[in-house]
Order: sequence, then C-alpha cells, then structure tokens
Amino acid sequence: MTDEKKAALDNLKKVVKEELYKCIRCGECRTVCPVFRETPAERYTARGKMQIAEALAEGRLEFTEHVREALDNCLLCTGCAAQCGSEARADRVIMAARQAFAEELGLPAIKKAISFALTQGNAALGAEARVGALFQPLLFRGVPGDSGLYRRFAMPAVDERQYIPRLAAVPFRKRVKFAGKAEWPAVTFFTGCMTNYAMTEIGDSMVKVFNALEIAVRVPSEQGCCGMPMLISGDRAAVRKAAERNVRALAASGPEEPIIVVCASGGHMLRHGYHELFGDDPELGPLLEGIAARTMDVTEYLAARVGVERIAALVGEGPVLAVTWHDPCHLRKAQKLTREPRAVLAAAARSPVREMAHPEACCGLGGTYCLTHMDLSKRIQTRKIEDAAASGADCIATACPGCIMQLRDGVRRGPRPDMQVKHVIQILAEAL
Amino acid sequence: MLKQEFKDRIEALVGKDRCSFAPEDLIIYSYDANAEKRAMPEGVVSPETTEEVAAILKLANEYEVPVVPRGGASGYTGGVVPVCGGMILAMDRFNRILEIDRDNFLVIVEPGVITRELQETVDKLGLMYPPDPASTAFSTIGGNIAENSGGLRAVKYGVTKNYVMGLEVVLPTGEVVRTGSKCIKDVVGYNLTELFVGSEGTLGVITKAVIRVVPKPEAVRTMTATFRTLEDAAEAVKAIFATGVRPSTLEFLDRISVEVVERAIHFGAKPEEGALLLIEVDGPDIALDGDVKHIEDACGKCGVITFRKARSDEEREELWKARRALSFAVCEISDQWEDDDISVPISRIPQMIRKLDEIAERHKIIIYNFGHYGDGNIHVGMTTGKDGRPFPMEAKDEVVQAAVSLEGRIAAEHGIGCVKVHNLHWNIDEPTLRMMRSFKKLLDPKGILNPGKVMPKE
Ligand SMILES: Cc1cc2nc3c(=O)[nH]c(=O)nc-3n(C[C@H](O)[C@H](O)[C@H](O)COP(=O)(O)OP(=O)(O)OC[C@H]3O[C@@H](n4cnc5c(N)ncnc54)[C@H](O)[C@@H]3O)c2cc1C
Ligand code: SF4
Ligand code: SF4
Repeated sequence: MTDEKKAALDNLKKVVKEELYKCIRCGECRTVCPVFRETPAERYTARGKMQIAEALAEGRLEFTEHVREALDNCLLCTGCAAQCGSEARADRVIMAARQAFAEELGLPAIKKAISFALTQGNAALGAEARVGALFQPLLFRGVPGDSGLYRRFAMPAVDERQYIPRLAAVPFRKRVKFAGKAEWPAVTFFTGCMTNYAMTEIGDSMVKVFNALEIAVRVPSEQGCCGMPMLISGDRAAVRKAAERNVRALAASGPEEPIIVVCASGGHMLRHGYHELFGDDPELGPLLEGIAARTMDVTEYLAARVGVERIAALVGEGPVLAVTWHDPCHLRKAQKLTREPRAVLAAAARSPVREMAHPEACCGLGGTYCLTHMDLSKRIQTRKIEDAAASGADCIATACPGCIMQLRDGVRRGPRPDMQVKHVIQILAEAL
Repeated sequence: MLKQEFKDRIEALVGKDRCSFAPEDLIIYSYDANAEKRAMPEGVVSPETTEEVAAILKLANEYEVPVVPRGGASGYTGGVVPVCGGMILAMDRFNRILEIDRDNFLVIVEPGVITRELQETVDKLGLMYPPDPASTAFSTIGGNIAENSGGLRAVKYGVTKNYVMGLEVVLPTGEVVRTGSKCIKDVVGYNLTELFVGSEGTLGVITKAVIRVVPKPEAVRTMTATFRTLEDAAEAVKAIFATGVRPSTLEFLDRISVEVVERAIHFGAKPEEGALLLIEVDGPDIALDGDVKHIEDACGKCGVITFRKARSDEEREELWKARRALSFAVCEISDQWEDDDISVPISRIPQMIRKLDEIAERHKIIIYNFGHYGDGNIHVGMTTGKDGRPFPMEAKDEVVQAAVSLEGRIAAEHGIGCVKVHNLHWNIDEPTLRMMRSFKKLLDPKGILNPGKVMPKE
C-alpha cells in the first residue's frame, strides 16, 4: 500500500470514528436530501452513505466503482448535517471516503475528463487559473470570441445547453489591489474564482459599497482558488496546496482585519473546511485559527458590524425591487446565516423579501455535480426555479456566484425567463 | 442464497435501476433505529405500483423468499431488519398524496409519504392530521400505520388507528384487497382495516390508505405545572379530567428527569419540585381562556408549586424546552442508556413509578421516566451511570413485568418488531396467540412476509 493510500484510509477511519457513533439511524437526513428526493434509494441518503463509508473503513466492503457511484451522487450541500439532531457530519464522512477512493481507484473518469479538457487548449490562462477549479470548464468554454450566453459543451457527459458566464477581459484581482483611502479602516477581500475571473461585477459592487461606507478593501493578489472543487473530487493534496497559499496570502493583513467573502462555499472552506482537513497538520494547523475567526460573509459583516439601519440610510429613497432570496447551502446550512442576508437584502431592495417556498432547497449545482450528474442536477434546479418564480419577485438574490450561475441557467428555461439573478451586494451597490 | 433465476425475474419485473443485489446495498438495508439488531438482506427491490408489489410477492412465494416491507426505517424495534434474509421491499417510491377531499375530511395517500409532508399539506388547507410521533419529520405513513404509532397528542386525538378509514393491501400471496371505505359509519363486513393497522408488515403490504383528517384548531395554549411529588401531579391530572377539559398534550417528567434537565439548561426548577406536567389545550381561541383557568384551578387544588402560562410563541418554546432538552440532558449522566416503551392505565402511573424506583434501588441503577401522562405511555430510561458497570439486563425485564402486573402493556407505541417477540406471552395468552398464528397462516401460508416479527417463530 502506498503512503498516500494508507494516509487516506487512516483519515477515513478517523472521520468514521468521529462521526458514526453520533448517528442513531433515524433517517431524518433522508427528508432533506435533494438527491434522495429525485431518486429515492437508501444509497443516496446520508445515513446510507455513512454506513457504506464505515464498511469501507472496516474492510467489510471493497472499493469498487459501483460503491463509489453512491458516494459521488451527492451535492455536498450539507443539508443532511444541518438537519441531523445528533449533529453527525455526513459531508465530512463522504469527503473522506472520496479521498480514499481517489487513492484507491484514481480520480473518477468523468472528473479526469474535465480535468483533461481543462489542461488542453487553455494553457494560455496560466497554471494558476487551472488548479482543476470548479467552474473552469464552464469559464474556459466561454472565452471571448463566442457570442451568446449558451454554449454547447464539447465535453464528455456535458451535452446540454448551459448558461456560461463570460470570462472577464481582465481578472478582478489584476485590476484591484487596494480600494479606498489609506486612513479608513480596511477589510481583506477573499474574492473566490468566479468573482475574479467571470463575475467581476460582484467584486466591483463590493468595493463600491464598502468605499461608500468609508471602509477600504484590500485584495491580496497572492490568494487563489479556495480548494472546494478539488475537495469535491477527493484531491486532498491539491486542497492542501490551495489552503496553504490562501492562508499565507490572507495572514499578511494581520490578525485583526476581517476577511470578507462573497462566495458561500469559499466562506465555508475558510471557516470550517481548512480546519477540519488540516487542523492537526503541524505546519498548516497553527496558521488556520486566525483565518477562521477573521472570516465573515459579506452579509454578516454588513448586518453585524455596519448595521442594517446604516445600510438603509445609505440606500435612502428610491425604486423598490421585488426580490426573493435563495439560501446558498454553504451559507445557510454550513454557516447558519439566514437572518443577516435577508436583512441586508430587504434594505438594499427597499422592500421586504418575498419568500419563495423552500428557500433553503439546493439549486442543484454542487460544484461539478452539475456536470457529472446533469440530469439530476437539472431536476433539482427545476424545482428551485419554479418555487422562485411563484414568489412573484422579479429578481432572485443570493450570496454565492455558483448559485447565481446555476439559477441564471435555470431561469432561462423556467416559467419566468425575465427574472434577474444577482448577488445581494450587487443589488446594494446598484441602489446607491 | 437467492437463486439467480429469482434475481433475473425480479430484474425483469422492475428493471435494473430499481433492484440491487450489490454488497453495499445489502449493508444499508440491514438496520433501522434500533441500536443492536442488524441482519443482511439478500437483495432489495423498490416497486412503484400495487401491481409490482403483487408480482414481487407472488415470485417470493414461488421461490419461498422472505420479503420485508420498509418505510423510513426509523423503527425502534427492528421491524425492518431482515432477520431471515430475503428481499427488502423499499416503499420509498410510493410517495404521492393522491387525493385531498376537504368536504369529507379525508386524504388518500401512498404509504411512503413522510408524515410531516402530509401534515404540512393539509395544514395549508386548514386541516390537521393529528397523530404526531416524535419521528413525524422522517417516518412514513405506511410505517406509522404498520406500527400504529402514537404521539404527543394521543391524549385528546388518539393514535394512528383512529385516523385510518380504509386500506389497499397486497396480501402475502399477491392478492390485492381493499378494506374500509370513505364512510364514517360503515359496518359492512369484518373490521379488517384494524387487523392491518399495527400488524408490523407481517400480514400484508399497505399500498394505499384512506386517512381521516380534522379541522385545524384555531389556537393552542401551553402551560407547565410543577409539584412536590408525582402523586400530587397524578391528583392534578384527575382533577383536570374531572373539569371536562381534555388537554391535547399532557406530558410529564419525573423527579430525576427534572433534576437532569435543570442541571443541563437551568430552566428554573426549585429543589422541591419533583414532577413536572407540560399541558396544552387547543380549540377555538375564545374557549381556551376558560380551559386554562380550569386547569390552573385544578392544579391549585393539588399542591401545585409553580404554574406557568405561555403568552407568546417564544414563551411556548421556552416551556417546551425542558421536555425537549431531556434527550440530550441525560447524556451528562451517562452515554449508555437502556430504554423501554411501556404503557399502563393512567391511574396506575404513580404506582408504576414507585415500582420503578424500587427496581432502581434494588439494582443500584438510575431510572428516569418521562412520557405521555395523558395516555399512560411511560418512556423509561435506565443506566448504571458513568461507572462503567455493565447494565443488569434483569432490571429491564423487571420493568416490563412491573407494567404487566399493573395491567399494562409491554409495548405502547414502538411495536414488538424482532426485539420483544420473546416477551409477547407476558401480555398475550396461549389461545390468543394461537388465533394470531392462524390468521398469519391463513394470509401467509408460506410465512414469507416479514418473518420473525411480532410473534416468536414456532
Ligand atoms: C427519534 C425517534 C423518535 C420516535 N418517536 C416515536 C413516537 O413518538 N411515537 C411512535 O409511535 N414511534 C416513534 N418512533 C418509532 C418509529 O418512528 C415509528 O415506529 C414509525 O411509525 C416507523 O415508521 P417508518 O416509516 O420509519 O417505518 P419502518 O421503520 O420502515 O417500518 C416499521 C414497520 O412497518 C412495516 N412497514 C413499513 N411500511 C409498510 C407498508 N407500506 N406496508 C406494510 N408494512 C410496512 C415494516 O415492515 C416494519 O415492521 C421514533 C423513532 C425515532 C428514531
Ligand atoms: S445522520 Fe443524523 S439524521 Fe441521518 S440517520 Fe444519522 S442521526 Fe439520523
Ligand atoms: S450533502 Fe446534500 S446531497 Fe449529499 S447526502 Fe447530504 S443532503 Fe444529500
């Protein structure tokens, strides 16, 4: 057995030991699982996946592609963990199992293909942008030169029309290093890939709002991908690299300065993911504490540190926007933020939020899930879009660029193709 | 071992996607929420229609393969654990609410519908499905019917059986029968519906149910009352019932439960408070003030120490806190608990608690009790504490026998499953057991449907 294999298996055993004793096998996690809802089979529930992981860890079950299929069919939305009365973290177990699979059988075929598609033909963008990141397959296919918003994917298993955000001519972090006056208090901005490469308007909105509040925005240029996409595929070594790089880049602004994220998944990684994966890493571990404590979602910062009254005053009078709110899984379930984003959104829209049915339901993106399980992903997306449209709002607001991409893709096929999809910070910036 | 031919025919019937014989799938259909019992099935099949269920059961008869119907697998007594191997019949795909008939206050559902979903759906229409087991959020209607599940509101609204008007059932031989009707008054033929309610998947597979619902009460009032002793609380319960008010919830915590919860969440219990009642009434808003007054007076006459009334939703939550906190508060005393689910006629509860105290004393163990005072259902938690002593299993039997000696039952709402079969004779005498056996034999001559459950094997 190679060292990596053994390490991954040991890690799986450890996580299984830490999480499985909590599970009383009640099955409550089944009822919130978007995958189970579409394909009711125990193998797709958190309860089932944890039992499979335990059997793998204990050597009662072999690592086969058929077993892997069960663990791969998961959005890592953390809905199960958030629902579980005993706080069993199925998502941790599933990720540890995927890492073990990556060592035992190599990366899954489809993920390898995506990775391959990436490395071919896009060398121009530089290695930095290619770390196997989540949305790169989508981004790179949309490089300028293509016109409309729809592209056909010339990739395995990706054969549907899919909305692709256009790649920005200049990445956000190339343009912005520090915005605001030196004498203002400052925040450190962790942009995330999507905001940096494609939806740069989110970054610009962030700057506009914070500067209007007389807060400077520092954008460390050494930061990179948060590592979530690699984690999803079970590529632990790549996650570690990403973590180390970010931790070093973010530590530069000192132990006090808040780190602001506009991407729910990135926030989840900085706050929990790194710590859970590398907390006892002798080199990385000690650096992580400060990072997690400093990290805040942008809506949380605005609600808790700035105050909704001040936001409302800043927004002042003006046109009212009919908005509804989509809870990103990694914001609501992983970071427990529900009131703050709604409060900020209501202030920005000058109107109470029109709640859709099931605002907490996953949009179906799940990192590369939308590519590897396109059918199911689309079914989950369709429910979301129907609920959003029924809310009567004209705009879906959320706080994760990934969700935005998925929702925009769905809206165009749904009952209200005219609906807009925006990051809450963008709505706020536009209201100023 | 299943014959390859049998597997092929199952696959031909439902397709590759809806059956599996893969090792990982056998592992994940080997359990329910019971902590100990596990057994591996040999395959799993997920039917979508009554016809498919019938065809599967016919095949199972032909090849003499055991079949175990499975809902949410939240059962506490190993009801879905395939102790004799065979096929798991996963009812997950029967998850549709087929008809909501507001005028007649009934709903037709498939058995795989999660109970909470049914409740939320009818709630939007101003209706209520009253049975509310603590597992409402994840157990299925089919499982609830098969277990005749109870819940907090049983004292006023009864248990699952009171809401099942009719069933479509596939008999173990594959024949499809229909029991009951949509009519409230219906004396046509034997009352077969109730034969299947609580049959724990041993007499037939439920594929459709006609469920009764009621108008949703306009308002709820919540209060708690504490007493020096459980005897005082018992007097208060008697006094409450004597006023003619029927609470929708009447939960109790005994002395140890109160102490444990106080230590964990500091809800303000005084040292002399040795029993707590959590009481709710529901109905038209204008009537409830009177009900609350009656209850307060009744408690007042019986030595109440503190009487609290919730004036808002937050205060209601506050009052519920002590009851809800119990399950995690007890972890502070021990992480190894044995528990049991018994019931006694309600007037016997104080006697039962005294007997439990004696058992605790005799075996030097800690026993805490809580449960549904209003329906006599006591949940007994037992532990040796944190000293690592193995739990004296005789104590568990003594608890159940204490209930039996007070005309109580060895299982109140969690079923017999495969874990209590050997104690069945404590409640069921020989001729009655013989009758049960002949029913089973008649409906399931080859004994393929959920064998090893409810009754001990002959
Ligand atoms: C945390 C927790 C709290 C609980 N609280 C309560 C409570 O307050 N009150 C209470 O009564 N119970 C409670 N239970 C026990 C359990 O939830 C109930 O027994 C419930 O009714 C089981 O439903 P299920 O869908 O999970 O059924 P399963 O566990 O899947 O099955 C239970 C039995 O029903 C049979 N069955 C299932 N579906 C069918 C069908 N379609 N046709 C024929 N037979 C079928 C099975 O063969 C099995 O014997 C609790 C359990 C947990 C884990
Ligand atoms: S993970 Fe939690 S919710 Fe799911 S079965 Fe286990 S205890 Fe229940
Ligand atoms: S993380 Fe989401 S998709 Fe995965 S098992 Fe949990 S609830 Fe299901």
